[in-house]
Amino acid sequence: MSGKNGTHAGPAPTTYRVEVAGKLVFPDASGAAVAAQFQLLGLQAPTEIRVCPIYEITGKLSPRELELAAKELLSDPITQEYRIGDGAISPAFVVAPHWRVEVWLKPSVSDPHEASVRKGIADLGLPAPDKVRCGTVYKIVGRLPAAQIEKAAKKILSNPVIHRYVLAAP
Amino acid sequence: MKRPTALILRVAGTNCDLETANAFKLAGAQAELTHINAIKSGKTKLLDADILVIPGGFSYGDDVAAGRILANELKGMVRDIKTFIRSGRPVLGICNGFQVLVKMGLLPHNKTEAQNASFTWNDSARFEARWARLRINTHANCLFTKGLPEMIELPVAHAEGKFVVKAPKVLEDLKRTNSVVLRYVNEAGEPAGYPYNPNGSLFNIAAISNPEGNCMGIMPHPERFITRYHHPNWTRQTFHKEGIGLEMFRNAVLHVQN
Amino acid sequence: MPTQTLPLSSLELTRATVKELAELNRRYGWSLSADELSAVQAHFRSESREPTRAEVETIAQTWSEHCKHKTFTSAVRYSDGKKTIRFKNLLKETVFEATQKLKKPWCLSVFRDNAGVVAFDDEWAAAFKVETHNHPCAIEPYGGAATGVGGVIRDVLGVGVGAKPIFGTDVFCLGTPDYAGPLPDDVNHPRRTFSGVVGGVRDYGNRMGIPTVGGAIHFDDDFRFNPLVFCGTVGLMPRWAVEKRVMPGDLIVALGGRTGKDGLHGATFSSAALDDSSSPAAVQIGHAIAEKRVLDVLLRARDQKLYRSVTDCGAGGFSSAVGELAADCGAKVRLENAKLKAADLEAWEIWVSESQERMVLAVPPKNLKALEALCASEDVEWCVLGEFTNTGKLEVSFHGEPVVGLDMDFLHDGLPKKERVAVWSPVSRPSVKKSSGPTDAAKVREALHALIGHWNVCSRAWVIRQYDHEVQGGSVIKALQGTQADGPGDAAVVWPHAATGKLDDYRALAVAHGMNPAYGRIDPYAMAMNAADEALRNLVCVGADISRAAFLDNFCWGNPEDPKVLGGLVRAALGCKDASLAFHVPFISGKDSMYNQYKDAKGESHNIPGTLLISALAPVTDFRKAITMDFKAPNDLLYLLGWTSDELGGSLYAEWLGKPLEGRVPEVEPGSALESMRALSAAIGKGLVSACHDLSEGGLAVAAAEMAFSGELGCSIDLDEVNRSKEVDADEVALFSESPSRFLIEVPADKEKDFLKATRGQPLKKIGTTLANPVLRIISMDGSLLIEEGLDGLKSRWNNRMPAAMGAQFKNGRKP
Repeated sequence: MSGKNGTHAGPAPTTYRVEVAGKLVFPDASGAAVAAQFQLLGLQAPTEIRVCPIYEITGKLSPRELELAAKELLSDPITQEYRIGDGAISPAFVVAPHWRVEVWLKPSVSDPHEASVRKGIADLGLPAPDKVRCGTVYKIVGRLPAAQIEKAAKKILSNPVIHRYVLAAP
Repeated sequence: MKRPTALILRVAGTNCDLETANAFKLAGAQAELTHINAIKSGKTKLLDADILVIPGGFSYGDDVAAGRILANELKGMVRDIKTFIRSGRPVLGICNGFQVLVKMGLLPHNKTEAQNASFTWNDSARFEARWARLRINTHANCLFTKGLPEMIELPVAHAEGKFVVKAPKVLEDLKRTNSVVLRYVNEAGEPAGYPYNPNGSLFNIAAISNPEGNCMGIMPHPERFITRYHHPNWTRQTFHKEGIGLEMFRNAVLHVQN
Repeated sequence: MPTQTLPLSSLELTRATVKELAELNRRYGWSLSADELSAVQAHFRSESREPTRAEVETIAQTWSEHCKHKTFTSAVRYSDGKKTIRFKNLLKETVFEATQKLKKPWCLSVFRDNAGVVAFDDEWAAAFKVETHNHPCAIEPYGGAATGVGGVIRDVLGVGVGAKPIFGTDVFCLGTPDYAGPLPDDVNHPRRTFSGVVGGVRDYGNRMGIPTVGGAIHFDDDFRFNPLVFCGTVGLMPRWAVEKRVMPGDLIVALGGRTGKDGLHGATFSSAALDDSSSPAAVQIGHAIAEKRVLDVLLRARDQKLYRSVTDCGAGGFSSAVGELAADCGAKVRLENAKLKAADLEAWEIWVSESQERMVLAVPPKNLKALEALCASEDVEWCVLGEFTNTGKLEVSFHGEPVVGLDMDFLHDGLPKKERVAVWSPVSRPSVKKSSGPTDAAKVREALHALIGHWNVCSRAWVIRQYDHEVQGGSVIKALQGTQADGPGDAAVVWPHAATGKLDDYRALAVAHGMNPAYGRIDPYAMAMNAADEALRNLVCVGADISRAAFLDNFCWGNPEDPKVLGGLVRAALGCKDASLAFHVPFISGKDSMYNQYKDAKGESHNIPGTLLISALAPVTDFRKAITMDFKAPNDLLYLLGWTSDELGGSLYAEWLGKPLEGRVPEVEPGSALESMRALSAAIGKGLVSACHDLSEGGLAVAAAEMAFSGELGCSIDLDEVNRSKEVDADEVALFSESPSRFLIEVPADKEKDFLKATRGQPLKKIGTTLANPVLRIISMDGSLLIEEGLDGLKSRWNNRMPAAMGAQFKNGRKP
C-alpha cells in the first residue's frame, strides 16, 4: 500500500492560485443566467455578473511550469485570460466595482474536475501536483447591499451543504 | 471493392462512438473503435486507417473546457494527424471532435497552426438538444457534403457550441476559401437568431473544413440521422427517403474508394 | 497507520441495557429498531463475544429499509372497517404474487437481481430499474440527482453479468417553481430544487452518453420540503448474460472509483467532532466520466467472459456488495487492498463507505491477468479485495486484524419480523358542484386557459432540451413531437442499434409512466389502478405491443409506523396487484422509499402524499409503424375511445375550482380497458390511425388542444357526441373529467371503414374533425358554440409557464 507520507525530494510544494476570466468582448452567458436568478429571488438586479473559474494548485511546479499549465490548459487563448496569484492584471480582469464571491467545494466532497486537471497537467509533461482544487468566482457588478449578496451566495451561488464561499466587498 | 477503414478514436467520455461506427458500417466502411491508449502505445497505427474520426461526447468530462484536455493530449501525435490530413484522407470531428480540432489549431486552417478560434458557452447558457436547419455552402470544396441538398436538418446537442474567432481575419479567410460548410438558418434558408442558431455562433457557423475540404469539423450530429426515422417529423412527411446524415459518411467512403 | 481500535468492545453491547442500546443506536446512527437491537445483542451473546463496530455497521446496512425493504416485506394486518386482511409478507402477497400468477415466459429475471429483466428478442434481453434519491435531492439537488442517475446506471451494469444502458428516464415530484409561501431557511426553494435536479440528471446522463428519453414531473407544494426524484435506466444484454453465479475461489475484484470518507453516511459521522471538513450530510456530486470508464471496461470484460458475477456498490458500499454476492457461499476480504482516496480511513469506514462509481466482480483467478490488461488499456483502477469461500461466513480483516466475522445466515435471515398494523377508512366525498342551466362559456374558457398552463400540463421542453435525448442514435419517437417538435409525446421509442449492432432490425423499446398523487390523496387504490392504466395508455399511443409490457413500481410513502399511512400503502399495493392481474402485465422490479416526512415552518411533522410511480416498458415490433400525437391533416375524423363519467375527484378542474378533494376519483375497469387498448393497438399496427393521444390531466379539453397545436391544425368537437354515462350532463364534466382508459384518435376519412372494423365492439364515438383553420372549437351539448379559440394563444400559455418561472431568457419555441 502506498504510504500517505511519500518522501519528497527537491523543493517544498507551493500553492498557486490561477484565476481565469473571459475577455470582455465576449458576453458572459452563464453570468446573465445567474443574474436572472437574482430577480426571481426578489433581489435587486445586478448590472452584470461575470463567472470565472479559479484553481488552487499545490505541488512542486516551478512558476514557469505553472504559467504553462495556466496558458495551455486552464485558459482558452481566444476567449479568456488568466492571472496567477496577485500577478499583473490583464484587461479581462478590469471589471467595474463589484462584489466578489468565491465558491469552493468543501474538502469532504470529492471534485470530479480535479482528476481531469491532474491529467491535463501530466499531459503537458509537468510534475504531478499534490493537490488541485477547482472553484468559481462570481463578480457581481452593481450596487447591491451586503445582505442581498449574502442571500444570493447562499441561495443561488452555493449550497452550504457542499460548498463554502468567501465574500469580498467592492 | 475494398471497405475502407474508419478509425473512430475513443477516450474516457467519448460517447457517440457506437452510432458513428454504425453509420460508417451502413456507408460501407469498416469501423474500428480505437482507444487513444492503443495509439499511444503503438499497438494501432493512426496512419494505417483510411478515415479518421473524432466522435462526439464529453472527452474527460469536458472539464476545464470542452475538448481542451483531449486537444492537448492529441498534440502528442499531431505530426501523424497532420500527415493524415495532408494525404487528403477524410478527417471528421463531430461535436466534441470539432471542438478538439479547433483547440488543437487544426481548424480553421492557418499557417502558424496555432489555435485561432474557439468555442464558448451557448448564448442560452444551457445545454441545447434540438434539431437545426442548416444550409450547405454549395461552393465549398468539402468532400463530406458533396451532392447533398442545399437545405438539410441535423440534431445538435451541446453546451459549448458557440464558435468564435481570434480576429476578423480568421472569418474572412474561412469565407474566402469557402471553408464555411454549414450555417444555421431559418425555414427560408436565411441566417437567423435563437433557436435557429442554437448557440449564438459567429456567422451562424455550424461546420467548417480546411480549404482542401477533406477535414471537416461539424457541431451537429450526422450520425443521428442515418435513417428517415431519426427525423423528428418522420411520422408526418415522406420527403426524406433516408437520413441525410448518412450521405456524409457515404461521401467519405466514396472519396477513399475513388 | 490509523489505529484499528474497535470502539464497541469497550462499550460492551452484549451487556447493555435496552436504554443503553438505544443510546448506541442513536450515537452511531444505525437506525435499528429496539427489536433489531435486541436480536443483534442476542446473536453476539450466543457467540459469547462483543461485536466490532464494522460488524454492527454491516448488520445495520444489510437490515436497513433501503436494502431489506422491511416495511414492504413485513407481516401486516390491514383493515378497512369492512374486512381485515392479514399478510405474512406484503410484497410477496401483492405485487410479486401477481407476477408469479401471470407466469410470463419472457420474464427472465424478476425481483431477484439489481433490475428486472425481460426478453427483447431471441438474442437480447432488456433490464429496467427505477430508483429514488429523495433525501439527497432535498439537501443538494444537483449532486443528489447526479448520484441518483449514477446509482441506477450501476444497477443496470450490475444486473446478471451486466447490461449496456441504452436510455434513462427521470420523474420528479416537486413544489411549484413559483411557490411564494414561507420556507424555513435551510429548505431549498422548489425552483432551486427543480433546476438542481434537472442539472444533475443532465450532467450525469449526458456525460455518460445515455439518452434521457422520457419521464414525468408532478408539481404539488406538499413536495416542497421532501421532493421525490426517480431515476430509471434501461439496459440491453445478451440473453446469456442474464444469469450470474459466484464460485468459491473466485477473486473479489473492486473496479472503478476509489474509496473515501466522502461516502460515509451522515449518521456515522456523529461520533466524530463535527468540524467543517466533515459535513454531516456527506452528499456527493458524482463523477460521470469515472463511471463511463467503468462501463467501457465492464462490458468488454463481460463479452470476453472474464468474470462470473458482478454487482454495484450502492448503499452499504463493499459491505452490501460483497455480502450480497457471497450470500450463498462466503467471503474473505482484506480491506488493506482497497484503493483509497486518502489514507485516513479506518477499517469499518472502508467497509461501509458509499463512494461512487465502484463495482464488485467475481473473477476466476485465471482471468485476472486479462482483466488487468483490459483495465490498464482504459485507465481504470482495480484491486483484489479477497476471495469468495465456501465457509458460509463473511470474514473481513485489515492488515491481519479481524474486523468482521459474521455468519451469512444471521446477516441475511436474522432480521426479526413483526406484524404491523394498517388501517384505511374511506371518506365519503361530496361530488363537485356543477353549474345548473346553460354553461357559462366564459368560465369554461377561463378554466381551459388555467389548465393548459397548469404546472401539471404545461410544456416540459425547458427540461427535455437540456437532456441529450438522442445520443446512441436510437430515439425514433422522441418526447417532443409535432410540426415544431415541441408537442407532448405520450411515450418514447428507442431503437437500440448502438447496443445490438443490428441495423436492419426494426424492433424497438417504448417506455412510459403513470403517476398521479392527487388521486392518491382520495384513494391510493385508485391511484395505483390509474397509474397502471395511464402507463399502458401512453404505450398504446405510440404503437407499442402491450401484450409484452412490463411494469416497475416505485412507492414513496411517509412514516409506515403510522397505521393510516401504512393503510394507504397497502391499498396501493393491492391496486398494483389487481391492475397487474387484470391487464396481464407483470411487475418485474420495484423499489420503495419510506419515511418521507418533513417538518413545516412551524415545526409540525407531515407525511408526503403517498406516491406510486408505475413505469412501463414494452417492445415495439416494428418502429416504422409507430405514431405520434400531433394532428396530421385537416378534415380527418376524430374518434373518442372510452367512456366519460363524472370523475372529477383529484382532477385539475376540481383543483381549479378550489375543491381538490371533492368528487369521485377516476375508476378503472381494467377488463374492458384492456380490450379497448388491444383493439386500438391493432388498428395502429394496421396503419389506420394517424395520431393518438391519451386523455389524462385536464381531460378531453387539454388532449384536444395539445394534439391541435402540436400539429398546427384546428379541430371541432361536439360534446353531445361524447360517449358518456347519464350523470354527465354538464359540458364542464365532458370536457374536464379525467375518466381513465380514454384516447382521442385521428383517423383519415379513407381509412374510417377499416378502422371501425378493427375496433368493432369498443366504446368508440366520432366526436369531430380536424380543421385547416388553427382553432379549437367546442360545441356544447345543447348545440351552441361553447369555445372557439386560436391555437397560438393556447400554445403560448402552455409553452411559456416553465421558462418564465425558471428565468430562462431564451425561451423555447420558434419565435424567440
